[in-house]
Amino acid sequence: MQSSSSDSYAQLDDNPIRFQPVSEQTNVFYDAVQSHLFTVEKADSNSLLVRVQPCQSSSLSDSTKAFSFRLKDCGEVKSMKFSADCRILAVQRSSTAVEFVNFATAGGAADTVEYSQTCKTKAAQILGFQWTQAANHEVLYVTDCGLELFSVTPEKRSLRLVKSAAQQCNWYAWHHAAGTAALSSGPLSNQFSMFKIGQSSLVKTPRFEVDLPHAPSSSLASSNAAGGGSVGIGGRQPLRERDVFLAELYGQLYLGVLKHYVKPGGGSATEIALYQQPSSDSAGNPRKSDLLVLQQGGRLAVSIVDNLVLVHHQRLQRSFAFDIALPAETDGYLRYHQPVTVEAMPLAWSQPQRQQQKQLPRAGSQQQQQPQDAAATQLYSQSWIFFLPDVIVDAQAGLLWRIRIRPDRLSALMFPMDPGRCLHCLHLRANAKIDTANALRRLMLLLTSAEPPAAADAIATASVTTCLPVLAYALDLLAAQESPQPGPLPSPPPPPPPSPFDFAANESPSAYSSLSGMASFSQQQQQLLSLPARAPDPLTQSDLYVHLLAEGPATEAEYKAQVFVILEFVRALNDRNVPVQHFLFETLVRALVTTGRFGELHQLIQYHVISDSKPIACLLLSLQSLYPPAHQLALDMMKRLGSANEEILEVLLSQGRVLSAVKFLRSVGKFDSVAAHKLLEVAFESGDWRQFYSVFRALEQRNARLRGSAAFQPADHCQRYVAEFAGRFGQTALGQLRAL
Amino acid sequence: MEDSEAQCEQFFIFSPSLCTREGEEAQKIVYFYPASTELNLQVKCVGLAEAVVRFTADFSDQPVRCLTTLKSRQVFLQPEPGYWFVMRFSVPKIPLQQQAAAEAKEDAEYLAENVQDVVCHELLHQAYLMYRLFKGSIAMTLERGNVEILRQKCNHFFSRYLADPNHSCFSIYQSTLLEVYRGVTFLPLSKRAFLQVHCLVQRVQATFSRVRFACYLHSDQLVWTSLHPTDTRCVYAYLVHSLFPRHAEDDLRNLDKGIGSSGAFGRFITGPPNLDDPSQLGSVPRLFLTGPDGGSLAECHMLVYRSGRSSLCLFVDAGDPVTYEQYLALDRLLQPLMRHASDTVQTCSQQLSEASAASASAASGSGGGADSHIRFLYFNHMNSAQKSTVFVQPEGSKRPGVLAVKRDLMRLCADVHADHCRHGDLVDTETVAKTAGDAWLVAKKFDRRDFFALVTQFRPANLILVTEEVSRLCQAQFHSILFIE
Repeated sequence: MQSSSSDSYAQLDDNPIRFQPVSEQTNVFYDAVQSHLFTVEKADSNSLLVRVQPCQSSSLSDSTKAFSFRLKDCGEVKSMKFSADCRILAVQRSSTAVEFVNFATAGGAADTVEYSQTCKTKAAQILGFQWTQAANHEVLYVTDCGLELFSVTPEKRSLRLVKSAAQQCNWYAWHHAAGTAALSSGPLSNQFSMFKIGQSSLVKTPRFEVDLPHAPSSSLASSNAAGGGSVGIGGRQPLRERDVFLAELYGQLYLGVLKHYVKPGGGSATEIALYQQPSSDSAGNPRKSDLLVLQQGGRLAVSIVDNLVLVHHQRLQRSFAFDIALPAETDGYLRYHQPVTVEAMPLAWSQPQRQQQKQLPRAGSQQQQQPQDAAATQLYSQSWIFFLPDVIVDAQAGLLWRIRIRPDRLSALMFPMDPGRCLHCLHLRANAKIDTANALRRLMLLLTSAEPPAAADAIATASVTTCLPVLAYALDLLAAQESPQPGPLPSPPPPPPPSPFDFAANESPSAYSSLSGMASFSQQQQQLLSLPARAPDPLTQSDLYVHLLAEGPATEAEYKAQVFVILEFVRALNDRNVPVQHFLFETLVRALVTTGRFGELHQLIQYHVISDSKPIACLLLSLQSLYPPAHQLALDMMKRLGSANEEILEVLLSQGRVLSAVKFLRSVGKFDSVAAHKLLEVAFESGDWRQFYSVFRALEQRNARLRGSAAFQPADHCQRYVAEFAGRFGQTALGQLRAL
Repeated sequence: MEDSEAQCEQFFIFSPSLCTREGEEAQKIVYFYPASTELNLQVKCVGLAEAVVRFTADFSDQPVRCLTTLKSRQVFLQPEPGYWFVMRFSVPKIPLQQQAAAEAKEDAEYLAENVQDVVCHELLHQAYLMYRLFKGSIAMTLERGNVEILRQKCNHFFSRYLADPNHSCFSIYQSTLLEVYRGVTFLPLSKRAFLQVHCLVQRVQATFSRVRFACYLHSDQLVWTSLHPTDTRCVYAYLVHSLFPRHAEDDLRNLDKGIGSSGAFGRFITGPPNLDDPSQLGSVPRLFLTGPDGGSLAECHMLVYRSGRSSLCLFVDAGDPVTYEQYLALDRLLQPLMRHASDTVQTCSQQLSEASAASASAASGSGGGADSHIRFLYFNHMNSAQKSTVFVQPEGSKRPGVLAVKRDLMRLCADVHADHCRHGDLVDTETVAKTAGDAWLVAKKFDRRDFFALVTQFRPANLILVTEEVSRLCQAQFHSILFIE
C-alpha cells in the first residue's frame, strides 16, 4: 500500500501561527512552557521591539491576543520567558545573569526598569532558566554547577535565593508540568540526576546511569553539531542533549533516550529507551521500562501527542507512532514496542473536508491541491525545530504548527491490520469515542455478514473468526474502564489469520489458540499491564448504546449481532462487578423477543443475567401471549423485587385465581388491608360457588378479627355479594363463623 | 410385593389406512414387539386395538388413551394422523391361597393400582418422541420413502430402544412420576459462570455458522440450551441415560490420565475418537430437531465435546458430513475455551453447593443432608426444570440412583398428580395425604409448577407439624420464585 499524506493520522494545523521569519534583523524565541512565540527585532539604536504571540492551541489563539513591547538593547538575547501570570519577563543575555522586567498587567506595558540577578555560584555558567510550576514567581537557574532557585519580588525588583543544589551538569531537560529537571553529567553525559522542584524546595532522586551503545557511523553523528563536540570515549559517543527528552505518558513521567545503533549487517537502527520515573508519592529508582524499536537510523525528532510518541524521521520524511499502553512483547522486564502502524506515515497538512472529498477519486493529483502553506514550506524541512510536546516551528518560513492526531485515520490504517489493537489504541485516544464506536460497528457488521467480505475489501483479513474475540476484547476494555478498581486489562486477542475464515479449511491454527476474556492470563502479564492506561474519554455503557445499539437492527443477523455484543458486554461488566445499565437489558430483551428466541431469554432470566426490575417484569407479562412461560417469569421476578405485591395481586386476580391471591396476601401480611369487594368480585365472577363461599368466609373472619363483627360495612361496597351469598346459602349462613 | 411390577408385554405400531382389502390385515402392522409373536396373534392384537379406537371415537372427541382389563393395561397414542402406537402392560399379581382362589375364581390377585395410566401413557409418548428424534417423523419418512422404509426404521430403532435397560421402558420398575416429567436438571450457577458458558456457546455458534443449536451440560446437569423445549428433554434424557453412561468409563480413564500428562483435556465423545488419525471420523448421531419456528424438523449431526465434567453438544446442519479439518478447527477453538469454562463452572457449582449445604443444615438444625426424613420432587412445566431428592446416588456410582422412598409413596404421587391435572392449569391446588405406612405426602400445584414433599419417619406427626416442616423446606428451596404455599 502506498501511503499518501491524505491517509496520515498525524496532521499539522491547517491554520498555523505565522510570524516574522528569522533573519539578520529578526530573532525568534519559543517558550514551550507558556507557548509564547517571541519575535525580536531591532527597533532603533538602543531598543528592541518584542512581539509576543501566544499559541496555546488553535482554539485559544483568538482569546489571548498578541502584543508587543520595547526592550532595552544591551546585548544579544539568548532566551526570554514570561512567568506564569505574564507579569514578569525574564531575559537571558549573558551566561551569568538573567534580567527581569515587570509588566503592569499581562500583555500590558513593560516597566522601564530592568533588574538583574547573577547566579550565586562563582564561575558558574547558566545553561538555562525556568519559571517553576510550583510557585508563581519562582525561577530556577540551571548552571553547569547545579541548581539555584530564586524567588522574585517584582514590587521590590529584587530576587532572593531560596534553595540551591550543587551538581555538575553538562546540559539538562525540563518537564514543566511535572516540575522535574533531568541534569546530565559525566564525561559521556549519561548520568542523570533528577530534581523535583516544589515550592521553595528541590528534591533530588538518586543518580542513575543510562547505558549507551557503541558509536554509530560518523555520518550520523556529524549530521547535527548542535549536541556539542563529540568526543568518543571507549568507542562510545557522549549522549547529546537533543537525544534526550522528558515526557509524560499516561500520567507517568519518562526520561526518553534516543540511542543510535549500527546494525550488525550494516545500516543503522534506533531505539528509544524510556526510563519510568518513580511517581512523586513513592520512592524508588528510575526504571528502564519500555523500548521503542525503530528499524531506521538517522536524524530523529520526537513529539508527544495524546500520549502517543511520534518519532519523526527527517530523511525518510516519515513519522512513526508508538503507544506504550498497547500490549507489547516483553522479556519480563522490558517491553518492546513496535510502531502502531506497520507503515510509517508522513505528517500531513490537514485539509478542509471539502477538498479531501474531491481528492478521493483521483488520489494521484493531490499535489495541486495542497494548501498554500505547503507551497511556502516543505514537510520535514531542515529548518524545522520540534518542541515538546507537539509543536513544530519552521523559523525560516515563519510558521508554527501543532500536531494533531486524527483517530479516524488511525482507525482506517490499523483496523485492517489488527482490529483488536486498533480498538485498544482508539480506546486510549482522547476524542475518539465516535471512532471507537465506528470500529465496533464495523466489527458488528462483519458478524452480520455470513459471507466473509470480498477479498478486495481491506477488511478481508479481519474475518468473522477474528472479530469475535476482538469484539469481546474491546468490550472487556470498555468494561475494565468502568470498573471501580482498574483490574488487570484483558489479554489481547490473537493476531488475525491470514485467510478469511472458512468452515471447510482453516489454515491458521494459532488464531484459535487463545481468546480474550475467556482465557486467564499469566501473573507476569498482569503486572506488566498494570500501567495506568485509563482512557481519557472512554466509551461508556450509554455511549455504546447510543452509537451501536439504539439504531434498531433490521435483519435477523443484525439482531443476532446485537445480542452477541450486549451479552459479551454484560459478561465483561459482570466479570468486573460493574453494574449493568437497564437500557442494555431492555435492548437485549427486545432483540431476543423480536427474533423469537424466547428459550434463551428464559434461561438468561433464570440465571439472573438480566437483572430484575419492574419494567422488565411488565415487559414479560406482556409477552405471555407469545410465550406462555413469560408470565411465570414475570411473577417470579416481581416476587424477588419484593416491591411489586400489588402487581402480583392484580395478575392473580386477572386470572381468576382468587384463592391463590388470598394465600399470597396472607403470606406477605397484606390480607387485612385489601379491599373486600375486589376479591369477592373475582370469586363471584368465576361462577365457582365453593370458591365464592371460601373467600366470603375468609373475609367475614377478617371482619370479626378486625372489627369484632363478621358483618360487612357499607364502606366495603359488598352489599351485592352479601345479598348473593344470602341468596345462595341462606340468610342464616351470614356471619356464622365457627369458633376457632 | 415390591418386586411384582408391571411389564411391557406388547408394543405395536399400526395404521388402519395401510390395509385396503380383507385378508391383508397384516399390512396394517408397522412394527410389533415382541417380534417372535405369531403373525396371527399380531393381527388379532392390532385388530382389537383398532376396534377400540374406532368404537371409542363415537363417544368422545378425545381419542382413546387407555384400556383397562383385569390382567393388562393398554395405552394408545396417535402421534401422527393415521398412525397408532399401542403399548400393553401386564398388571402385577400376587398368587392367592388355594381357598381364596377358589372363592374369587382366579388364581391370583391383580394389583391394578400398581399400574398407573399416566405413567404408562407417558412411557409410550416418550417412545414416540425418541423415535422421532432419531428417525424423524413418520410423515417425513413417508414423504421421502415408503412404508417399507418406515418399517425398517421402526424395527431398527425400537428393537434396540426396548432392549436398552437405560430407557426403562421394558420394565416399568424404575418408572415413576419422574419418568412422566422427564425433567431437566439445571445446574445452579452464578450469573458470571453462566455468562462464561453462554458467551462460549455464542462464539462457537457465530464462528461455525453450520451449528444450528447447542447445549452445554456439566456433571449431567444442563447449563445452556438453544434447543426447542421438547427436544431439550429428549436429548437430555438420551445424553444422561444413554450416551454419557456409555462413556463414563472412558472419562474416568481420561481423568486419571489427563492430569499432569499431555494436557489434551478436550475430546469428542461423538466424532473422531482420536484427532491424530484422519481416517477414523467415528460415528455421529443424526437427530431430527424442531426448527426455531417450532414446526419443521431439521436433520442435524450431534457432536459432543467433552472437557473435564463439561460437555458441549453442537447440532450441526446435516447437509454435508463434518470433515476431518473441521473437527480439527473445532478442537482448536474448543480446547482452551472449554477447559476454562469447565473449570469456572466446576468451581462455581462447588461453591454454591457447599453454601447451600451449609445453609440447609443451618436451617433445619438436624436431619439435613442426604438421609433426610423429608424428600421432595419439584417440576416446572414451563421450562421442564426438575429438582428432586427422591433418588439417592450411592457414593462414586455413575448409575442412576436408587429410590429412597417406598414405591407406594411414589405411586401416590402419580395419583395425586393425575388428580391435580384434572383441575386445569390455572387452578392452584394442594393435597395432603397420609399413607398406611405413616408417611405423609404434601402435594402442591401452583402456576404450572408441581411440588411433592414426602415425609417419612416423622413422629409425632400431625397435619400442622407436617405442613410446617414442608413450608420450611419450600422457603429454603424456592425463595426466589413465586410459590405460594
